[in-house]
Amino acid sequence: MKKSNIIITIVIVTLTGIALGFGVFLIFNNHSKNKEVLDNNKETKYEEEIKIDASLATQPLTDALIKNLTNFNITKEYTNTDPAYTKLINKEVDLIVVTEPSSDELKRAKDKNVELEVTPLVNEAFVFFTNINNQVDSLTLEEIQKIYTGEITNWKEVKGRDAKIIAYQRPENSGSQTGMLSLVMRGKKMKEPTEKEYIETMMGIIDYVSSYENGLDAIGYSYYYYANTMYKNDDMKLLGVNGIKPNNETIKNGDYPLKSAYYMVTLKDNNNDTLTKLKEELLGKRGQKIAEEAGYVPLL
Amino acid sequence: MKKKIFVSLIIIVLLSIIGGEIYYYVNHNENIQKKLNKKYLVDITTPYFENPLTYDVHNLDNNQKIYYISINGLKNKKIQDKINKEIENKIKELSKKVDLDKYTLYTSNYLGFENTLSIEFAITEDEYFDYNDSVIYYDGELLDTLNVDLNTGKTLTLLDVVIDKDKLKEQLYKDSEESIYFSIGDTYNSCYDCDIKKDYSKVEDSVLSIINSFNNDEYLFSYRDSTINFYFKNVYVYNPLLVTEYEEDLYNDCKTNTDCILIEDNNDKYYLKNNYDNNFRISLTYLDMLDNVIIYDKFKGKDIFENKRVEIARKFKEYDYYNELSKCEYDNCQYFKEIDNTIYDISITSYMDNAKEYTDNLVNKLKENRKDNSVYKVSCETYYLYPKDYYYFACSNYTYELNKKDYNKYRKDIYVNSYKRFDTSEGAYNINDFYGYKFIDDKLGKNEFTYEIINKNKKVKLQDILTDKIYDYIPYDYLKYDSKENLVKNMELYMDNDSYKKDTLGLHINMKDSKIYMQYNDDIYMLALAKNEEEYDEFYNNSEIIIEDLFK
Repeated sequence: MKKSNIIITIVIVTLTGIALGFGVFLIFNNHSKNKEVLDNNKETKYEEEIKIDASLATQPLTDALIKNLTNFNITKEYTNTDPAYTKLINKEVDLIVVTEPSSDELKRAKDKNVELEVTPLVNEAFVFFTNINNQVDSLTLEEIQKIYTGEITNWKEVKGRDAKIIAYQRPENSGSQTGMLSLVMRGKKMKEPTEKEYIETMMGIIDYVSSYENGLDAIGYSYYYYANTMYKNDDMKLLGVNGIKPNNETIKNGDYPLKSAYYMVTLKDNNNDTLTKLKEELLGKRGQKIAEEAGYVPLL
Repeated sequence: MKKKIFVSLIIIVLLSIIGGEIYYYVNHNENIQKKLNKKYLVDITTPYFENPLTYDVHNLDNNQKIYYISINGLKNKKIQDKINKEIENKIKELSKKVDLDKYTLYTSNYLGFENTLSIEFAITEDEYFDYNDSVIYYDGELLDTLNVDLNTGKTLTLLDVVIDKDKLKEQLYKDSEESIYFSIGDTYNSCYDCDIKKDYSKVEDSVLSIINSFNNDEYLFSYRDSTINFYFKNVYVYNPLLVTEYEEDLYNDCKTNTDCILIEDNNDKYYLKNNYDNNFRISLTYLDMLDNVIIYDKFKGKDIFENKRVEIARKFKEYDYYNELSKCEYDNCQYFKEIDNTIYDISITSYMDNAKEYTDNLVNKLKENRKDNSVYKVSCETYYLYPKDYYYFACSNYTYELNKKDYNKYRKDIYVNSYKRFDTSEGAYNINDFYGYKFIDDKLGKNEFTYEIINKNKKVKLQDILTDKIYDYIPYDYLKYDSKENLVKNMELYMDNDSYKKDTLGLHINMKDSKIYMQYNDDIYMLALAKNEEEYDEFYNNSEIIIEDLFK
């Protein structure tokens, strides 16, 4: 065989290899993306319409579930937590994804002679954040309580540098402030925030905490979902509580102490088979995977 | 020979396949697109072209309730016809969905710059709707948009306007939060004198709803030469409603509804009711995201128009209230110049129509004492004193002393801040007149306040008068109070931006300039001068004593 022929053969084989390899890569990539859709096609189709409402904090979760569980005929009718409970109690929707019912909502259900079935759907947690350069990586629950009651005022009291703690607070009645009072303070009275410690907008706090010059001594709080998906920023870090850093794993296995959840709520007397199937699907492997991809901490 | 042709053909086919695959990969990989698009990042120091399209207005099927435009002026008539057809089709399609007995459907807010065009389609219930008056700013309900590349006639996506959707989302988050915060504030403020604690608790959830819609691509967008506008239809934006007893049904409902907060204002009782608005419209300014905007440079290039393009000396024309950066108009001078590594940012208002003279003098004076890498921000105004023979000319002079590194670092921000204006019903205001250069506040070296009392007729400057004597100029007989004691008794303290009550004399403390005025209706008297923040706080905390001292 001539030398030139050998070279030509090698070139052709190489180019063919590259072309095919690249094509296979693209097809494989595309296939992976569509796999979920293909999987959906194998599932049983449920034609009966299921109406869902959700709180603002869980609408991204519900959107992700609706988008992926295409074998169910789900209609979203979004409002927010309290109106969602009202709609469920009035049987205007079949399922709502919300926080736990309040005593008022439970009473309203009782008054209408309906019983709520409340099932955790995904985990949630309450988290604290500081500037990435703050020397403190973790606080005990007691230290956090003392910071917010005003008993601890300097970072050096919690093994940090000698600087006054700027402890931001959130507006009264906001979800974060309600969580702070119930999950963290547990009956202890929070100190009155100074003017500097009260910023209405969350981005204002994030900007402040992230700034090297101003934010080094600041601490703020929020829910894990918000902090992780909305406010994530290279200049801030989540603090550990009692030595445990909040992450999907520690929240899921219950090691992180400030844990809560988002729930799916239905009416106990609703025996709709499709609804039962949907609830199974949401709590199953697929539903939980979708929730995790949407930024929530799954139960499984 | 045949073998060579065969081999060549195989190589060509293989190269074509590889080329096709690479083309597909590059065009479908967002990260590669981002890198490629970086070359289009906006450079505010270079000019851009306003495009010379002209527009004809039509009524669809002569229906006076449906207005739409067609464009003229593209050299390529095929592309022009394609775009016009698309506009017409969109309006036809929308007209089928709109109740035309109730609404007027129209194309609005259309604007072309560089080789792009953006059009909004909206409806209004206004029975006095006049299309000619309402083309650009009419605030109807948006139904759809059309954003077009005039080079090709293709529709533009968000990634043709910005490089990075995540960065845009951050800005959307910030601006939405502020916008909702202000709308909530507005509702409260509409209840004058209500002693209520403002409630911002729902802002976070409202913003989440907006961001969720953005993540799900459930939005419309259009753009102008300085802003990108977003419209979200199915969001839940908290917009509390003030319920008075005149709205009987709502008011009665509120008496038992836990969603309502009771507000007591003297003898009146109001309720504040939880209310969600599912329409949300917001404009983000390019100035806040200069490291992300590509629409100017991505669609500039060849001249595709029949008429001459208009070159705009600077970008963000919308904010250019005075058309040029440095300009004097009778009683007002806006002077922004960088000379020898020093920035002079001067704003002068003089009711004597001699603002230019003052500006020139001031610049010369500053030049004499200039330091390298400094920024001088000076704003001056004249105020009449009574009797009107006298006025005083007062300047706040902020000097930012930077090192070379910081000067170069902040230079762009300073330019941007100087361009940035906001519109109110009374006209456009320069942002930095209100906020200065916040981002370099820690570099503030001197904060001087200078003033001169001038005799208007003789134009002779009187000797400097000590600030604590200025009250001597106030003619008490001009005021409604017949004695100093009564005057002092009726004085009230106002903070910056507070609204004044009519016929009430107030001691006005201006935070920005750290000086204290006394205001009577539209006339202002300067009473005292705070040299620094501590002194300002002292003035504020001891205002009653100061008032008494001033009028002893």
